[in-house]
Amino acid sequence: MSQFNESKSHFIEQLPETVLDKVGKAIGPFEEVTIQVTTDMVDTHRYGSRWLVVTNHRLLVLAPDDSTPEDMQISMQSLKTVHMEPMVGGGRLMLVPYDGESVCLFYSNSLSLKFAEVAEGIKRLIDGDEPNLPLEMDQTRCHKCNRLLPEKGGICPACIKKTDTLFRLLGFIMPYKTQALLLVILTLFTAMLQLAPPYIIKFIIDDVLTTGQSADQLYFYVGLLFGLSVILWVSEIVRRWLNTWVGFRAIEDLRTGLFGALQLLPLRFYDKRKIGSLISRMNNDSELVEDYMIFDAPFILSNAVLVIGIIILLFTMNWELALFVLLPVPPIIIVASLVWDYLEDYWRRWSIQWSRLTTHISESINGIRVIKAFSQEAYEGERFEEHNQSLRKASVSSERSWLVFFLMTNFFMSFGAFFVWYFGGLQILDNKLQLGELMAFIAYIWMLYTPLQWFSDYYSFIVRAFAGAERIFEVIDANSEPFDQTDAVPMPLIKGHVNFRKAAFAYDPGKNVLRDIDLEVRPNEMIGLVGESGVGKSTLINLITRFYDASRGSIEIDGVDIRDIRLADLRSQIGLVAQQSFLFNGTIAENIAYSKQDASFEEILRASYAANAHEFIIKKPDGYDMLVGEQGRRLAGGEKQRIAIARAILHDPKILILDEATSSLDTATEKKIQEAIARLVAGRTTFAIAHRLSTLRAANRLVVLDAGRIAETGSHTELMARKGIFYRLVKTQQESSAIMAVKG
Amino acid sequence: MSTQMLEPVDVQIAGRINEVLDDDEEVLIRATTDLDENRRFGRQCVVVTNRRLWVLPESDGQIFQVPVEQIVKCRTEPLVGGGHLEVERRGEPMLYIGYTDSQAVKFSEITRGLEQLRQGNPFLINPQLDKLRCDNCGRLLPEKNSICPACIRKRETLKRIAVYLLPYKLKAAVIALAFAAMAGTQLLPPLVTRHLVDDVLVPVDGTASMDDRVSLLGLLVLALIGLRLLNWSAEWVHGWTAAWLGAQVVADIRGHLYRCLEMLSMQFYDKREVGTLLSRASRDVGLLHDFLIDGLPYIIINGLLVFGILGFLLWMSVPLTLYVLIPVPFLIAWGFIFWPRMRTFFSKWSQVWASLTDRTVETLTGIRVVKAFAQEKREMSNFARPNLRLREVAQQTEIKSGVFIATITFLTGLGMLIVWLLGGQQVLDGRITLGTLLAFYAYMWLLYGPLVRFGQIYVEMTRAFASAERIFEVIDTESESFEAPDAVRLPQMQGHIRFRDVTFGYDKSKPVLHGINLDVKPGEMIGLVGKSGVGKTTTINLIARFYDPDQGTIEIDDVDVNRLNLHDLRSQIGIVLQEPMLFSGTIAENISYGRHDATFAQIVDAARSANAHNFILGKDDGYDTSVGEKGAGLSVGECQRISIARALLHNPRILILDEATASVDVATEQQIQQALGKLTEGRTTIAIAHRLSTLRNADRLVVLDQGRIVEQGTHTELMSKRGVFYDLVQLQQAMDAIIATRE
Repeated sequence: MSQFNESKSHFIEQLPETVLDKVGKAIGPFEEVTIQVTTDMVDTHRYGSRWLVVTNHRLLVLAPDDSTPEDMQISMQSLKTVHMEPMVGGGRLMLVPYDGESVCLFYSNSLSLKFAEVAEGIKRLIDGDEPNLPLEMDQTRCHKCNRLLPEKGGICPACIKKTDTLFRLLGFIMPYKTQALLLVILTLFTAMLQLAPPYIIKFIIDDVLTTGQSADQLYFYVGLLFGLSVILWVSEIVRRWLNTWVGFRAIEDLRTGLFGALQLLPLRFYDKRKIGSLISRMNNDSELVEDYMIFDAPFILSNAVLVIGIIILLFTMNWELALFVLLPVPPIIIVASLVWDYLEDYWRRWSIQWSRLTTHISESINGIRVIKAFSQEAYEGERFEEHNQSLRKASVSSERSWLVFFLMTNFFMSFGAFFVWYFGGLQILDNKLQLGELMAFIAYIWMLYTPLQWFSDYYSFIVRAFAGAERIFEVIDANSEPFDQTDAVPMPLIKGHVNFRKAAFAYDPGKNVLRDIDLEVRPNEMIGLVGESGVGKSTLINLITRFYDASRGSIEIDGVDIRDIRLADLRSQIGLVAQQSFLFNGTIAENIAYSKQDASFEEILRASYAANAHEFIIKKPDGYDMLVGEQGRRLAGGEKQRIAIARAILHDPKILILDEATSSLDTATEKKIQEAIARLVAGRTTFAIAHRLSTLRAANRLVVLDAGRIAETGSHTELMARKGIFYRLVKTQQESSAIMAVKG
Repeated sequence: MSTQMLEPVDVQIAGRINEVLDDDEEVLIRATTDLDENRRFGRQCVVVTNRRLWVLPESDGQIFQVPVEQIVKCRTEPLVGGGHLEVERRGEPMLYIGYTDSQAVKFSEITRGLEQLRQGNPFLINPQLDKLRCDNCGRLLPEKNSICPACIRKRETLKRIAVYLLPYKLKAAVIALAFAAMAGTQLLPPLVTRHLVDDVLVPVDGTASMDDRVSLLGLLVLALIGLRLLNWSAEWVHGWTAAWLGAQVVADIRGHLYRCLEMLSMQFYDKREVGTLLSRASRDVGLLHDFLIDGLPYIIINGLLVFGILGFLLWMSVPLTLYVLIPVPFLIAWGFIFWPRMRTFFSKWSQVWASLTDRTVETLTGIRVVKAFAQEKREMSNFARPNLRLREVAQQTEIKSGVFIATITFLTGLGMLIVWLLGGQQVLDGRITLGTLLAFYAYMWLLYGPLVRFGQIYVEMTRAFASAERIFEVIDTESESFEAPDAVRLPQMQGHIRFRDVTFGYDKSKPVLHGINLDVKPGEMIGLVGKSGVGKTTTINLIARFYDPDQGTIEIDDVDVNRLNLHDLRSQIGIVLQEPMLFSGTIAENISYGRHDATFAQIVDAARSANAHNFILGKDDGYDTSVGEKGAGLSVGECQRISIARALLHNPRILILDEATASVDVATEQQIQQALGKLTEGRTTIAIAHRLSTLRNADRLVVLDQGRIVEQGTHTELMSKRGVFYDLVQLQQAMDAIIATRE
């Protein structure tokens, strides 16, 4: 028990004083508390807290105050079982004693995962085991704002700071510091240059045109303007060159980071996600960020310089008029701050609708055969139209809210110009101002307002780009598989001794697919996994490849906990032939050599011979150089499967996993492959799953799974003699194998 | 069946070919390679006739001819960056025809054709190869088989886009009016300021009193404000309506595109990659949307403005107008030099994008394999290449357009200098007033702005049009004749299926089925038996009319399937496929997929018959459990049972079981078999199974081999015949006898 007390973080919660007292009164001096958790509901419809305290002797249900229902106590011996009952918006944990009424604890949905684990733990205690509760729980809500997270253990989108996102984006520029610095300097320089022409024009009007001076001075000023525009031209080109140089490199790095993160993410991540939405992160989101890096960010920088420069200039020229110019700024800021939140909200809604639509399209394109077979084109059309209309509505409202924003700010801005015309005009009439100055003022106003106006325009892009960046960072930040864990044990040569120790696994907490698996597999042994569909055969295999980690217990390979083995070492020595074979777009040879790029052609040939694939491959016009098409679409199912087998053979694994490897082959081919597999399994630890029990004839030992537990193990003869589950399975199969005479 | 591959060649070579051929020689293949006889870039023409192989160099050079009888063997040999076609000749040295990688697929077909000729087999090659270059201009296409952006017929495309606007005439008219108002109110302010300068601020004739000037100042500023308000309301009206109209039109186009996609034949889907289709529905429509909302209005409003401005400029001062127009030809010329060159870059850009997307889609869909083989690092480095290439292409493109834009800005700047220089001189000479000069200056900004942006808009327009064409391409592709008016209605099918001499190949050059004749009586159950790849699934595809036979006909109730109303046909056929595909939604929704009006009791019944009820109840939310994309969250066996329930609820007259129980374990299979036994009664059933036991209820077994029916009859008949079927059964029984484990 002591070991458990050290990790009391999740299931030993801090008790309030009142409850602590009650607990102290109820339990004996040497009783050890194993679970103490709180609920958030008193009964089906009242919020309130209740405490469940479990020791090895008894269970206590306690209220922090004297409210009803009263505190309860059940001794461990009298407890028959415990189960969870889902209800609307929550559920209850029922403690069922051998006699008497059951005790219920109510909880809302947010706590259902916790209570699922608690229920499992109590069951163990009833059986006299240790509760063996998981050390970690997935977070479903943000611990800061308590909002539902978009994915378990994910990032709360509401709690991400814009500035953080910006800094992270800037981080991608850091490797190109020198160029970026040059770029900033150049941007400032060109922005400053742009300030000069209106001032020169002021001189042209005041010193030349209104005073009727000689044309010489006109030539001088125009010459000055010309010189300026040449310098601007050159520096603009250099600036843009630098800009693309830095920007695209940063984006390239970002994409590489995203793709790399996607590769290293655990399969759990992919289970809950639609591939379409991940692809859109790569496409749309990275493009949004690209636009931001290339166009928006430099634009904002140079305009910021312009705005500040102009404001300073205006005040030095004529501070009274300058005040008039700035008059519309406060209302603009007020309007902007009012509308921005809406804008952001609308964009978010738009992108949600957008991804729903793309998901629908991708699903119906992938499932086109089913749609056609059921003649459901019209129905799918309707469903699409629903998505299409909501997208349309979302885009109209976001477009319109942007319009409101744009026009409102624009309206206030134009008033600045009117003030200048009127009050400036009055000053000219009073001879306090010269026409040239007024014209310069007008010019500067437009130079001032245009960026301000564009800021709002670009703001929508920035919001989108940042949302895109956040979605990308979300993937990059998601916990990846511990690929390069430094303290992992390198195991370049696995012997193939696999040991399951009380391993249990649940895809969703509380719903165990595997329970208490104890299985020791000696090196080079071949294990046949047998059982009905859904009993956990594939899951068991997923644990060996460490696609998932066991929720409880452990799996050891060659005596080392699988979690401590370097993942690359582990996987590179496991070969998997799955039920549905997946090939990559490329030649047959490339696919066979997928795991071993430097494989010689000879090796490829040998592998394909062994998998009985050589024969059909050479019949193809391009032989081994035939392109298999997207997902191997140009090959038949059986052909794909054989290439997948060849691929596993070339991989030369120490542990081989055959997950229904031959189910899509016809009997004649299967027989050949069976021979090949018999050759292949020699010298390897093999786990094979097959519905057709004949496939397992080469197995040293058969393991029969039932409802997530190992029900029987032994050789074929032993199991047959036992007349248990396996015997029944074999009987049914033999019955259905004996082809009955056809009816007619 | 025409299987000639005739590439267009230039007149000169065509003439030379005609010279050397005999009169009765039939040209089967005419293709060009991109390497000459010395393996340098150049051209050679390869001609295959029914009698000879010709190799003609582009210019004068030695012409090779090889009579078919003289060919010993033909094969392709891949080399670095290309390959060659080796023709082994009797008594002569080997003949090599080189080509680069882009031609490899073509030459593999040519080789196949040559081999067919040599062996005296029927000449069947696939002449439709992926199109990589535009037929018209020879430019590299942005994606294969797509449209060349340079060769788009812009006017037609614009007209077609306009058709989508027709239902919203009123709204479009409102927008047009708003445009006119916006242009008008933008044109007038410089004229007002001209008055301001000339009559108020720097009076040309100093007669007006101070008070008059002050009140005129107020009046003119009020006029400015009025114009601004008008402009503002027009903008408001325009923006409000355009937001609605743009989204509506795009939704219409998207909806239309989607409906067309749904109706397209399977053949179309076989040829396309999913990613490409996806991008049409998303990226292409998106580009079109941007164009409709931003680009088109800009063109119209600024087009109007340019003419208005020119009018005012000429009215104010003809000579000055002529002067300031000097840079305009340069601006336009510069644009014309630049944009066509940019187009190549843009199409390259999108091509690299596409390949990057393909890479992502593929690795993500195959992520299990990547992980199982621990190839993450390798996939990353594979990704790095297109990613780098994307960066390079994007950078080049952006730098080029950066230079362009900077230069344009410079040129317009020169226009401004002209105004100040020459206009200033005219003011000094007293020929124009200062106010006029300033108005000129203001108009210049209004004029050059659009001129500069027109080029950019033009590019956007081209891209949007290319997108539109890609969308229209799908829309125009002949769809399945769903509601053909002359189609025969068959609301109550008997289920009598007859194949008459049916020949079919997915690729016309490789027939999968040869001359199939089969008569299935109503209510009969047929088991299709054979090795994998012999055409069992194909037979089924033809019944459901996923494909049309190349030769022969299929009749249902004595009506040619091609003439049947497709909806009547498919709604009475139930298919359970080998790889079950479920849609995201609840289990109940998936079961009632073919019949949305099904009651819950019916759904449960169907699930019971498919033996799915029990496991469904075991799920969290029972029938309301939601199923993810492709049935994520369920095991394959569970998916399969749901898809069986789906077919059962569909209550079809013809039931097709394509390995329906392959992924279910034995116990479940037996239960499903029982359910199916009840189900098949009274329905015409066609079942495929590797496990012959599945077919024990069949009235008749049809054994396929290499696309032909080799045996048919009852189980007993076939067993006594000791033919192909007998061998299969023997083999399977041998396999099924579970052999004691090795120890």
